[in-house]
Amino acid sequence: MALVFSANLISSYYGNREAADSAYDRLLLASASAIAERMAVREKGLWVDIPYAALNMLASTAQDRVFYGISAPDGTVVTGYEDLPSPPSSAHVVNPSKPLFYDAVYKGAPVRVVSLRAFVIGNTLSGFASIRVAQTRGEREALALSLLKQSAIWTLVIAVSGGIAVWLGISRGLRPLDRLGEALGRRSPDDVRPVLHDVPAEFKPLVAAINSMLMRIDDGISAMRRFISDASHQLKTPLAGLQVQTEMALREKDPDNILDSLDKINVSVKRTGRLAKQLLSHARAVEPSRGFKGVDLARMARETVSLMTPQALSRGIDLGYEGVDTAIVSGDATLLGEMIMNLIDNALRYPPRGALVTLTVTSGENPVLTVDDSGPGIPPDNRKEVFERFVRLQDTPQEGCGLGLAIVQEIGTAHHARVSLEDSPSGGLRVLIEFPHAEKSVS
Amino acid sequence: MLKNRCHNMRWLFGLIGTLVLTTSTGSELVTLKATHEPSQSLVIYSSTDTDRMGYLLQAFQHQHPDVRIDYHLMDTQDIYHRASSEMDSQAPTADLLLSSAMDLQIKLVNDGYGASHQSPQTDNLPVWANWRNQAFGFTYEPAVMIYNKALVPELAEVTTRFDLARSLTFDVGYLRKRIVTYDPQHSGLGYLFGTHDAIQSEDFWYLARSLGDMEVILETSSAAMIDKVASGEALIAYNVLGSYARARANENPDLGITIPRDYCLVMSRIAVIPQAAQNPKAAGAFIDFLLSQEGQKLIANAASLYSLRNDIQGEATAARLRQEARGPLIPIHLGPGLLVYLDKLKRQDFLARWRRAMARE
Repeated sequence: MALVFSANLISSYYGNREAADSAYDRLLLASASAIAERMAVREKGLWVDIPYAALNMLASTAQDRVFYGISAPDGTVVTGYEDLPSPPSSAHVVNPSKPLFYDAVYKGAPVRVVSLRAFVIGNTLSGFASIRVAQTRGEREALALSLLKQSAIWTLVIAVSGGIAVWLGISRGLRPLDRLGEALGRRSPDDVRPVLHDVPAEFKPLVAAINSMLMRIDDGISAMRRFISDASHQLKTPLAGLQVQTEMALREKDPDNILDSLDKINVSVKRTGRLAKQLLSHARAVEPSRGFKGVDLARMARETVSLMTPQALSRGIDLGYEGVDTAIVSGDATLLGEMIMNLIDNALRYPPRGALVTLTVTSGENPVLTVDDSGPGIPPDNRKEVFERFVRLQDTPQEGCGLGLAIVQEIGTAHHARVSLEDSPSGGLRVLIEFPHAEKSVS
Repeated sequence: MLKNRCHNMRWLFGLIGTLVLTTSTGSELVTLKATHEPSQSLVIYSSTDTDRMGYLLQAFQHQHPDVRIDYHLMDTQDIYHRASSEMDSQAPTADLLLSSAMDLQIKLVNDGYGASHQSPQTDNLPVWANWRNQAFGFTYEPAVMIYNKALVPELAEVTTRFDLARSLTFDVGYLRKRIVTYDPQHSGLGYLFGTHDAIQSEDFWYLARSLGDMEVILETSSAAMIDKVASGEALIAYNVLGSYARARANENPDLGITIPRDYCLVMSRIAVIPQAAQNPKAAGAFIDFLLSQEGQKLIANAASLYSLRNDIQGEATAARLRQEARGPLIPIHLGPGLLVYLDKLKRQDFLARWRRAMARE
């Protein structure tokens, strides 16, 4: 700022100096011209009658000193100051009668000089006589400085008022932001209520973004809380069962009975392990999804079916895939794999031996994944409940932890897919998962 | 004359016992010893007679008893040449130059020989009497006509230059060889008045030719001109310094003073501090004293040199002059205009024209 200011001052000083020079140069030239008019050639050579006005007109308020010198065409100084500085060499060559202005130092003071040449002709000599009139720079500097002072004052006024305006504008304009910052700073770490402060229009998108982030954080936190409370509650039961079984095993004396008990414990541990694994998948599903990619749902379904076929065979269930070869949805491959795994696991769990489980994927505007089984099905009244976590319908014989369909639901929601249950044409339950159009959900 | 003046001075300063009078080559030196130690010295080159300046020197020393004053009296050309050549050769020079040659003093300042001095007293000066804060006018002396009213009382009616020229031309020659004026060829002040008359009006040359026709007597000092009128050898003198005329008219009732009605030139004695002054402070103090009310009162009354300040009452004051004058008072302004007539060719030309008017070649 100070640098710009001084640069401005320096440049305007030189500008003002030029302006002052051009004003006073005219006076200097008038003086030289007045002298030029009074030159003549006489018997003794060049003669000049300096008019009183020629020097008196240079009487300035700054009382500048005045010097002059008149030289004949041969260069001899006829009258005046003999050692006045000459114009820069060869300057008069182009147009000899054009007046020439230049700066010099004379008798210890900076002076402005005009050099004027006038043609004189007579019996004894002819040629260009030269008239030089010089003046110290006092008045010029005074004018340049007074102009400079004015422009400096105005520059300063403009800069200061501009600065004040910007400062006021910024501090007033950003005050809502300050208040917003303070309010957010004052909040406790778990306070994720939306921001309701009034802010200028320019900051509305920012506040909206903050609020939407807060909302997602809120969702995430409550999902996490719910999950932790559910999980700890659910893990308590099998752990309590395990405790009972181990205590009983410890009391047994008969090795056969001990072995039997260990068998049971083993089954319980496996089940608890699976529960823990499912809880983790569920936790991942409720995480806010980011970075979805195009995933081939059909291929994933085929692969999972072949992966699960041995397990199906051991249960005497005929697991198969029907449908298109490729159906691209936008999503997370791991989560979708988990979802299909859970769907198949769920379908294998409840139907009796000899049942049919069929996965179907259709492509098109909205790819749809369908799982049909010929099992007992779910009565329409209960269909809502099975999506709640840890709900197992009464009278279901197989072990399970009730998380399966809840996980499917969570993953489906994360992919903006619609999960629904229907009666299957093959007699049991049909789970329908309708995905949104791949392009739309990506964007 | 010189002897007589020395006698006067001895009498004057003898009373207070501080006078040492010496005469050296071409100039007269008066020294006022300091009465207080440690002392400093103030060297003055001046063209103003010691019997006029004595009062001022004494009064100044009364205020500054530690200042020893060396007052060198010399003519104006000597002041200019001595001061400039001393400064050119870096020899010691005066602390103060007091000269009636306004043009030469201005040339010294224009050529860079002057030192600046500024004080409330100098700021108080009219614009025309202060140039660059380096040249200061301290008197206000009109150029007047003085005539012998005992012999020709009718000369009281000659109040303008035109009246004078007409008297010279038509009044059947009774003024032939009985009019006296300055010789501009040999007197700096005569040249200054003559050239400024020429600037005022081309009529000056009509007057000059008339003067030449009547075989005007030429003198180099106002005192000599007044002497001629007082003795009756001349009947009227043109362009006499009013300060001298006033003093003599007060002593001699036969003398009448006419302030020209068409216009009256006013000259001023000029103080300049040389740029090489040893004691510029004392010189500045002396200038301030000259311009102070006390100094100006002494100038008006004791020295009868016509004071410049407006607030001084008395006979030889600017205020009284303004009352008495019936026409414009034209003070000669300090400034570069004064350099014009110092021009070599200009001077040759003016004097050649003057000589032709005098019909002496």
